[in-house]
Amino acid sequence: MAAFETLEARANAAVISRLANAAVTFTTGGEPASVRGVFDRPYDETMGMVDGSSATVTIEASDWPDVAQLASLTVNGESYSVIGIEPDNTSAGLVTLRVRAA
Amino acid sequence: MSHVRAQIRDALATLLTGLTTTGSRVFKSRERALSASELPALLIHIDDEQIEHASIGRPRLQNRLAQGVVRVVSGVDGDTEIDAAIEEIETALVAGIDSVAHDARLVAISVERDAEASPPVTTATLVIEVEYRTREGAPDTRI
Repeated sequence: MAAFETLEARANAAVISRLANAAVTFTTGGEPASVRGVFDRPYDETMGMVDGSSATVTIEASDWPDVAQLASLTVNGESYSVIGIEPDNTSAGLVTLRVRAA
Repeated sequence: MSHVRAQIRDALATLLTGLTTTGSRVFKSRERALSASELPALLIHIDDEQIEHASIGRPRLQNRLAQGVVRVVSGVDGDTEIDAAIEEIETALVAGIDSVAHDARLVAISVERDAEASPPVTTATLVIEVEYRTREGAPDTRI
């Protein structure tokens, strides 16, 4: 029987391959990269008074190991900045990036 | 005639319309959300009010202290826009205080931020104490 971390890695890969809905581009290690990610941008009534949104994009953590706050990326051709990094902290995990339109 | 509270709200809106930062984006008693294209904006409300009776026989004289709230809503990062708007509001209030009530004074400013939203939102809430006087049964007439 496969080790749990192996199953976990398979599950993560399946999530990205089956649920990815966006092309994500960025620079990592000085090189341009393009991967598929799960993009979500639900409506958010900011502070109860302004129509807005809170966007996230989830990718495999190994795709962008040097991601940092304020890094630039595009999602389906739109420019964003990273304003939050939420790794799932598993050995072969996913990372959810909170992003804001640049 | 409307209640003096409403007259004060109207007077505040008139006083604060046309400022450099917020221009004509001044909204009275607005409950629905602002859109990004409406920022920066001012929201004006008259909230709680204390009433003291200053005479015995009816109709009694009423000394009133109302809490006016002017909220600056900015849709850009940083404090520059908020600071500019506050400066303009304070200047306008002092210049036009007689049109609002017997007395009106700024008593508090509080600032809140949500920098993670799109657009990022910063608000400054200015609390203004407004004094006026009415006679019992005639809340639409300032005396």
